[in-house]
Amino acid sequence: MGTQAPLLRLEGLSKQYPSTEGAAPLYILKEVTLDIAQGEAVAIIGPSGSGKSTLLNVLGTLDKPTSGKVTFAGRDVTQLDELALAALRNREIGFIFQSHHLLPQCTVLENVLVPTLASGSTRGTETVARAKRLLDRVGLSPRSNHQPGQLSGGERQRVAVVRALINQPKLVLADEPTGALDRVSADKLAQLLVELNKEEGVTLILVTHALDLAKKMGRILELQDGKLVEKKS
Amino acid sequence: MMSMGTLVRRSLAYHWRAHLGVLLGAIVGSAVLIGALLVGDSVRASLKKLALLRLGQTEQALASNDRFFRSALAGEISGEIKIPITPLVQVLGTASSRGGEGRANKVQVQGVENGFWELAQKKPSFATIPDGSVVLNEGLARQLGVKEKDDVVLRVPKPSALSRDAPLASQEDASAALRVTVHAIVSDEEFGRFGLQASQLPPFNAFMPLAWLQQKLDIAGKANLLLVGKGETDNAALTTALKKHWQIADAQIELRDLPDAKAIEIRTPRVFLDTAMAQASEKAGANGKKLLTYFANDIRLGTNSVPYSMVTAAGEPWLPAGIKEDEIVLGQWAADDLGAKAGDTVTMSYYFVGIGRKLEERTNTFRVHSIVPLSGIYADRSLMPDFPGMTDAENCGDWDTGFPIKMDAITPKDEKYWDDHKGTPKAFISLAAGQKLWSNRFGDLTSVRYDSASTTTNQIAQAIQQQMDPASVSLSFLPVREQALKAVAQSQDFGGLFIGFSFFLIVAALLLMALLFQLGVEQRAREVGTLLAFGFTPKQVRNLLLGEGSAIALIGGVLGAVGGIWYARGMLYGLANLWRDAVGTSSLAFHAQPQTLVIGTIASFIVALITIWLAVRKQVQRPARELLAEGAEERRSTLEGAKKKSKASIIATVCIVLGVVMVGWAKFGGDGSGAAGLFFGAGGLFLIGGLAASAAWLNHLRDAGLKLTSDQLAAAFNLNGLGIRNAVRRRKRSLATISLLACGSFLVVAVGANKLNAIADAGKRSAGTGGFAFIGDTTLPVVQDLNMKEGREFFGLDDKKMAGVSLVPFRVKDGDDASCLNLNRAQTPRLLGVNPQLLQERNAFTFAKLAEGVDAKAPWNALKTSVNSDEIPAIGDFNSIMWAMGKKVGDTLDFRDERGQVFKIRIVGAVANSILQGNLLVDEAALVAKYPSESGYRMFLIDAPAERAEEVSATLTKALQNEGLELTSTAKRLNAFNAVQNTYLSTFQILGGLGLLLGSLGLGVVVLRNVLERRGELALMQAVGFRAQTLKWLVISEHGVLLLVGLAVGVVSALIAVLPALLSPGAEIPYRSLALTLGAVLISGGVWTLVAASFALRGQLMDGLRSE
Repeated sequence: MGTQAPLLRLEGLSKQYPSTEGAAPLYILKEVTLDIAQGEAVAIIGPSGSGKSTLLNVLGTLDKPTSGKVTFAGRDVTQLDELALAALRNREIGFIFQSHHLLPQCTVLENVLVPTLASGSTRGTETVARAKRLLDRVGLSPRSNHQPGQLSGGERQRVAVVRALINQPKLVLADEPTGALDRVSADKLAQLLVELNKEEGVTLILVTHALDLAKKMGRILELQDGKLVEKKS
Repeated sequence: MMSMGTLVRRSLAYHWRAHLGVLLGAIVGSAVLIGALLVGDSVRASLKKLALLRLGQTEQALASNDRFFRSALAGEISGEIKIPITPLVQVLGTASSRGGEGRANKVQVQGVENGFWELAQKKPSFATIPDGSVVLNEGLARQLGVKEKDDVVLRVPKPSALSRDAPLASQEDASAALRVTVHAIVSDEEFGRFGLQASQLPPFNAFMPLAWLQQKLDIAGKANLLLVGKGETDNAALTTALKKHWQIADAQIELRDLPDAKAIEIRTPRVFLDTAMAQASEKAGANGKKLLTYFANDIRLGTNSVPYSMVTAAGEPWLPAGIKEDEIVLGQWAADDLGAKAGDTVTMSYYFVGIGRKLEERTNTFRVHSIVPLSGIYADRSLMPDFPGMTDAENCGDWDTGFPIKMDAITPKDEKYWDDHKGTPKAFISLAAGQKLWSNRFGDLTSVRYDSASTTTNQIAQAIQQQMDPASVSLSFLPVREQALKAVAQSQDFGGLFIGFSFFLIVAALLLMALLFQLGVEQRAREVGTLLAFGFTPKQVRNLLLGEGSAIALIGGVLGAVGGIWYARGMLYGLANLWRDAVGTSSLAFHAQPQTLVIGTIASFIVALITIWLAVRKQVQRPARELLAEGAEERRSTLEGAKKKSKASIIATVCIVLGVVMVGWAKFGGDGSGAAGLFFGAGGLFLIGGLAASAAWLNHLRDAGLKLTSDQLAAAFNLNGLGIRNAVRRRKRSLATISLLACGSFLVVAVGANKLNAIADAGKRSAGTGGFAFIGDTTLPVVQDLNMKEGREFFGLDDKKMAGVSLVPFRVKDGDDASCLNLNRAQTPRLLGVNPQLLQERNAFTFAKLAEGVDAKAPWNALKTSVNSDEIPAIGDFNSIMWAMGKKVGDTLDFRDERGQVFKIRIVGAVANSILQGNLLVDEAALVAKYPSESGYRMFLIDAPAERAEEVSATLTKALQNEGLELTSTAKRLNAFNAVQNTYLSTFQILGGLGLLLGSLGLGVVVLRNVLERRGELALMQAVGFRAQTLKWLVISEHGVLLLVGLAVGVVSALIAVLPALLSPGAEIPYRSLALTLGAVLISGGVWTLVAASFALRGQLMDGLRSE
């Protein structure tokens, strides 16, 4: 990892959910501590219900930890208000969900550009050119004016990947990105993610329970009983 | 390229199916709102058109009613201000045709010159009306069933200078019958609608040549109405011109040169100089000698008597200075006849001039001061005023007086006195004594004399003209066009009324729109979650959704404006045909003001946008992770649920407890005056409490499942329990459905229960009929007392047939009809003068509200209590006061009396829903004091034995046929008024019912959406062995609960709210129509639920399971 400051640092991160009256609270994450450097590709694996998605939501500022600290690019995100978090997500973080969550009413190209609308400032020709270049990179140039409904599952997920990258984020979070794909499409997408990680220099954190996908990442962490355990890749 | 606008456009296009329902809701809401406003525009424009039709080109008018002035005054003023002015004679009469087969009362009979037709909007085709001919308006021709060249008989009152109310006034020859031929029938545009009173109802009009009518009525050269046409002038200029040109003859003042008496005398054909004349005469010259000569029935000394003598009350020189009030100076002739000498005491009897013409003989004693010879100033026959029927009589037998003359009391000696000296007074008393005995509402002087050596008639005439304000004798111009337009501007606001009627329909449309939009947004929860995850702020997402919503609201507003035009046309058709009882006219035409369309569209857009904003504001507040993970699933924590349950329970408890307290207070506390309001308030609180309780119940059911023990779970976990659990799963949707149905049924039941029926309890004194059998209106005034033998004999009413019949007579000062039948705002309502005792002793009517300090046990007596010298207390009908006059109890209204003085009428009480609608009742004494010239009674409330009511009606109608008596059963009259309220309520019910049906459609949408979302779990239930029919029943039962709870909450609350109406006399609960409406809602809700359930459960449910 070297001496460079990590892009993401978790310190004593815990997450618990209140239970029904009388019962003990449910602990999902317990005192998780972790550093992730800029450009790393990290896979988080673990059984269903182990808290992988919760951890990803906390990392993506979609959820708040019960305790502990999350530092992103040197800033403690647990101290930021909702507006600052929204701005952070928009500029610094890209999301890829298990289900593509493309807007069915927009074309492929428009879907890619949707995140640029939130900041409201950088939707010049340069952004559009970048969107087109990325679509071309993932082989979807001819489909850029198609609706999501006209694409295959793999294609839709590739659009979702491009959408995650459009604002040149430092971090891309992928929650089971291949979960809804067939094996061939899943493999292609995994390969694409690895390549883009390198090409774009973006940090990639990927949650999966597919070990073969995890193995394509530089680093594998397993969530066991609410704690992260480093696994050899 | 890509922008927020693009995203909004793309979303609108993609989700058009989902938005279609929202758009439909927006269109309905907008159409109903704009339509209601357009109804208001149309009614106002129609009323304006009618007002301008009835006035033609008339700008100002001078109406002096019973005072006739020179018709030449029109030309004199017109010549001065260069504006057309035409004189008219206008009297109210009756008309009959075809031997009495066709009959019309309250006919405005007008004598007109050709200039009158110049003021019409469209000049009629005839050049002039020939003598002996009449022009009728269409309404009168229709009523009489006549056409051109047919004959009609018009009966009109003959103008009498001396009020017919005065005992001395002749009762014979009071009216004239004119047989005339119909020359033409004029349309509304041809001035057929002419009238000065603000009403949308056309009067019956008959027009004849002015000169011919003047001749027939013995008022040659006289008129009582001037109409001023259009031109560059105003009221002030007209008043100035009037003051310049009017003459004392226009005020019915006469100046007589009396060479024998070396005097100039002011007198009047009205016999008594009224206050204005007396005041002017005081200032007209120096040392005016005031005289009051009256008619004594008898002067008696022991057994000797002098019948029927004139007695003059005066000062010097007729009487010595210092004569006392109880002293009399007898003429030699009378002294001889009586055998009286100075110091004797004589009694004098005379008829007292009271409020009516009831003959009340009073006597007074005097000590004979001295005897004077029948010569010089004591032999002056001109001291007798011009009593109609006496002055010109050749002998005593020819006297035509208003009272019976005992001819056997007149001796040949008396007859000779008349032959030789006519009405030369036989005795003199002091002016002070005379005024004490004979002063009356018409005046307290019969003449004023000036020494002709020191003045001339011209000087006196000029002085009077300068001193006297013509307005004090009813000569003043009124800006009738301005008043008419004001009456229209302040007319019943049908726009507001129909917004009220359509309120629930609008609310239902908006709620449906909100529900559909919210459901649409819920369906797009993952989309919202995605946008939030990518860094959109909740505000940005909300703005995106609002962008879509505003586009829908805008399109809905614009399309709604088109729909509104048709809605308004439909409502106007309803008002002119189905609901005609409410407006009394079919002359309502569609009229749309462009600004109304614009304002309505903008208002609809804003209302729809606010509705959508309310629907979406919560949707984007949920965390992105929840939206992404769960989609539309409604989720909340146990803690949040507990808080909500607790809040809802508190609201429910507080509202219901407050409601119970209010019911208790209304029933047992206070004076009962505000009971209706308290009950309605309590009903409203029960409604809110019921809805809050429903919310708490839904919360409770949802949470209860989490706390059940195994045994409880085993007991509760059945199909019904599962159904109820499902109903509470989408708590907000379920609550919205309950609320919509509860509010709708509340309104429909509450409104329906307020329908009135006058037939029920009509005989009770407390009812709106006052317990009277009939209400009667006459065209010509009846001056006789129909409760007395003499009065009945005058009209040939048989004692037997009149047994058990008594009447409460009302004097009428015409004004605007202030009942709900007049759509214009009554500017000066009609005044009725009544003896309050007659209503109080009957305890008639029920009071809805009394002013502070009025004795609730004897409220009618409040009319006798003078609030202060400048105010006259009045009582009216509650609805008329509130709606037609725009006033409330305690308020005052300005009136102008006959002398041109403004006075106030203070409303001290309001009777509930009665036949007195349209009027203000004041003490008869107060009315005649302000309007002394208004003679006789023109309205009657009649008590008659129920079993002979028809016979009494026929007898009275026949006897008072010439007076134009129209008898109506009080129940029928009240029902005519009730019809207005009932029609409005029906309109409200129909539109409210439509709203409820729309609400039940909303229930169907909720069912459909709920079931579609649960297809997977329903498939699972089918997979584990539930039959399809069972699942359908499960869905129907869980939504049926919402339907029943909603209706129950609404109906129960409404019944509490309208409890006073249910228990009040005359209340007619339309159980049938209410049951039908609620039944229709129940069935409609059931059908929608069934259709939605069948639609959602159609096909292979198992596909749903596979897609999970």
